[in-house]
Amino acid sequence: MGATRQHSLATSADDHPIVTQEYAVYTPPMDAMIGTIGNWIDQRVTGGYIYGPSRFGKSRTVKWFIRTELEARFKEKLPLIVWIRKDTQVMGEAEFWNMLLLAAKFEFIDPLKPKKKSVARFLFSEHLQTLARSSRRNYVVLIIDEAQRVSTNELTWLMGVQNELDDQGIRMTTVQVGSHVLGYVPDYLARTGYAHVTARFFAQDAAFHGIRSVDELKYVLNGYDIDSEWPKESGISFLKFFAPEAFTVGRRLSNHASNFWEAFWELRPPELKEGKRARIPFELPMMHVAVAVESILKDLAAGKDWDSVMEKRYLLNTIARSKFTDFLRRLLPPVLDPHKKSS
Amino acid sequence: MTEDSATLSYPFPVARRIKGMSGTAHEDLRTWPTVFEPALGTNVSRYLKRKRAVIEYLSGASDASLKRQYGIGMKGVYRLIRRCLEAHHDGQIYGWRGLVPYARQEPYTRTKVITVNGAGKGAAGALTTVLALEGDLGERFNKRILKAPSDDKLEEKRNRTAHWRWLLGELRKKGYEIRHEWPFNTENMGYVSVCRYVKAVLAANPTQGAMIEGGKDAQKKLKSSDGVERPVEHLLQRVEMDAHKTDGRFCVLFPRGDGSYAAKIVHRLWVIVLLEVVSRAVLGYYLSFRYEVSKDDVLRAIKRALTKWQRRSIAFGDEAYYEEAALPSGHNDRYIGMCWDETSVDGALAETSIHVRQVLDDIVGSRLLDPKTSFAVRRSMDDRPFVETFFRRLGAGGFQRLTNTTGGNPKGKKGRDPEAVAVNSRFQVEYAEDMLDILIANYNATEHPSLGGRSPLEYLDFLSSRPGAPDLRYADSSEVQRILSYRKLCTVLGNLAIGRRPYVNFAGASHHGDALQQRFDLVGKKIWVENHIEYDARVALAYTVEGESLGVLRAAPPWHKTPHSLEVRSGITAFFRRKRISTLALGDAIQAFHRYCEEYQGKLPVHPAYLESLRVLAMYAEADVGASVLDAALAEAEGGAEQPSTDSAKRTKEPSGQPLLVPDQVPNLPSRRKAATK
Repeated sequence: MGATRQHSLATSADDHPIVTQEYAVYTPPMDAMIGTIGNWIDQRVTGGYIYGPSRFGKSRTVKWFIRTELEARFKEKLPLIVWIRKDTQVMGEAEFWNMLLLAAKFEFIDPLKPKKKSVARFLFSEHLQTLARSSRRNYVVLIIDEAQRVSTNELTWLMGVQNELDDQGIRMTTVQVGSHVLGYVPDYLARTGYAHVTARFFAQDAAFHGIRSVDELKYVLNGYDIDSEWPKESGISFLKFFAPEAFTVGRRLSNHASNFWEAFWELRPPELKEGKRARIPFELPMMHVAVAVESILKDLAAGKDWDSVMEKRYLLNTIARSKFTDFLRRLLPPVLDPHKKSS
Repeated sequence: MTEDSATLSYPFPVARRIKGMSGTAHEDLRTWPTVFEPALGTNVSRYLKRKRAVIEYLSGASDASLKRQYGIGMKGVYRLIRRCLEAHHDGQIYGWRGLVPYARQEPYTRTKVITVNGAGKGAAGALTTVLALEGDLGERFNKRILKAPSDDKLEEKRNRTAHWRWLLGELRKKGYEIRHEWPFNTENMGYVSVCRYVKAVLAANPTQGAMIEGGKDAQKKLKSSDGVERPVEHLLQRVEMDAHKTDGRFCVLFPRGDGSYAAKIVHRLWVIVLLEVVSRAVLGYYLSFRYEVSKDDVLRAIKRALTKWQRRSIAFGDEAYYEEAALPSGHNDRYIGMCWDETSVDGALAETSIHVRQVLDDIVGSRLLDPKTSFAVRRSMDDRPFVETFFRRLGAGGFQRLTNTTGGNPKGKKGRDPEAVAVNSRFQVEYAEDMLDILIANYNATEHPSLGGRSPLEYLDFLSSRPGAPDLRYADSSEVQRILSYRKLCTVLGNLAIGRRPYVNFAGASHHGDALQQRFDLVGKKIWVENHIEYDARVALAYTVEGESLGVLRAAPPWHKTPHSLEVRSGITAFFRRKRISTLALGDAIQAFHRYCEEYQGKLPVHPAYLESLRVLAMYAEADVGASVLDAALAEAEGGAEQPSTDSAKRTKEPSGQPLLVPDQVPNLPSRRKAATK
């Protein structure tokens, strides 16, 4: 097409991950979550769940990092399946197994021609064994995102497969990732005669946190500054892409981490400033950090001056626009975190 | 009387027959009402002479003997005895009181023409004489005096002056003024006499008198006794239970979409308290957000009195609780679940419902004393003096000291706007809960003058650990847990023809269970369904009518996810029904309802089901004890810090003076990774 470099940059800016939001910066909470899952795999835990408010970055972890990071940790290809539970109330057994086969990237499954219940179940069980054996492991890992939608029936079906694999000497670790509602499930199951399901799939739990300190925030901002790259193999970080001059003279977002943190801190909901909820730990949802940074990067690209963008007032406005305050406040009632002491 | 008793013995049976005495209880002179002789002064010898004469006469002494010894003949003594047998105002006979010299049994009756002299004297008995002379005037006047003002009609309140003016008017019509007769010939025109007369008429009709003078409350109060007939002899014999409306306005803040808050005012908070009478200790309480107290609230208060109390973690200061402050169950484990014998209530519907009565009877082993079954009088303050005093104290010492109070009466507001105060100060319901808990726990630990300077808790310890103290009775803890359980006979539904497995509709949701699903034989029959966990209506137990267990039933969507109570469920169902939204479409009804309440921007008062639901979920959060147990263990390992914080973060100051929240220990940051992109 004979496009100049300028031109190609201009077109590709629309495809930039910051614009399409198809990216994930690595964060300490993600690391903690992956570490926890890694430990569970090490311990061959039969099942655990990770809960946390939405928009904190759980699903991004599952989507972007979990496989690569775990494989880096275990230094091998992992028999890992990630399934995102559909938003339907009730799922039949056939549909359930077909979904799992799709998630497991089973070659001979066609969503337009779903298998029968017994066939799909058999295939899934076999596929898991194949996965485990082909990676020379005696275990498989199933990660279920949006797990608050998983029904008791689904867990019971899964338990059958788990038992079957167990017979074959293969352990299966099921990790459920979902919102706080997951926290109410084990109790419910135990009360309705499914204590064995609780013991199996809810043996461990861990909270997914937000960004909890300036250092963590600095780490995250460094992701935009240095530890990111687009286009691939170009060596251009997100910051460099949007503000090349500022980048060249050594400006970095991470140097302003405490400014960012203070702006977030000042915009915390009034309940967190006074009264009993002041004792609730202050955590930043990753989404709001991302939205703020994305907005700043775009402004820098549009020609805004670095200093004016890093000004407190500007930061406050940017963060406020992301509805940070309202979002955090909605997370406040004890409703939203059953595992937090309502102090 | 002593000398008298020594020398005289009462004849029994009496030797002479006296009409109205012989053959009756009055024949036994020992039962006659007596006279405190020293009070008679110089008349005592004359009185004793009469008394002896009466006794001698009844013993059969002759006329001559009586005359010789006492100077009174048989006729005279008989006349005295007749006086003694007259009825007294107190309902007994006069007895020996009839012999007191110069004592009148009949009121003074004037027999001469009324002539008032220049000094205003000479009109004794004028009013009664005039009323007696004027046909039915006296009757009409009495009727007028005893007429109570109507409850619901506009009427003039009749005071004494009004009565006096009315009487003057009546007498004027009859020509008394023209003839210049009493009372028109006196300085005050008989005002003092009329006042005295009115007072006497009211005193002779105490019930009506109390109604006129003091209103309905006074009349009710008159009915209750002073307590001697309902003695409390031992610890935990009686517990007084009552509900009290806190005099204050509270607000709950809801976030709005635009970042501001919508403040919703809660108008009524009821406190239901159970107070042990002997030790004055509050055993349990419950704070209700409802418009009126319900039987569930009462049951919760009872349940709380039977379960362990724990200190709340308070936002506005660590020193709010006194050192010893607690409810008995939190003070010492041996008071957990202790029972009492009687529960005194004022007869409000919620407190006397059959369910409450049954719970008290079956689980606590306590009799319900309500106005229908006991000495108690409906809505009377004097039947439960201790709990009423406690409420007064709660008001004066707590809620009425804050500016969000509405005061005990309309004057209490003093021009303030409690609602504005509640909104501006963000005095939220949660604070009210904290404050109430502190006030009650502190009350239990405060010295009480009538307990010999001990606090209710100390007195409880003292009485219950005294040698010979009766053993405490305890309620079965599993039964206590079931206090709020709701049970219902439900028809099993299901249809083989359309392939529907058996299920039941219970409390607004269909419930299914594995055992029940197999029982097609039960279709069309009744089974018992019980919501056995108060704050978790997601599950219920099922039994056949013969008591055979059908296992646990699960509520169908949208009630299967988030824990809730039946109360919350019915609140939400009604709410969504009014809004014409089907709860079935909601996925999770509780979450949907929360979202609706939190985002709704109207100015309506906060929905009680929302508050209740929050409370249920908070309870769930508290049930998760793992973290606090670890905290306590760590604190102990580190040398017994008293109050470990459950938070992993604390406030520190940055050099800029900006308060920041940072974790105690900054976790090791992970090694750096590239951001992931497509």
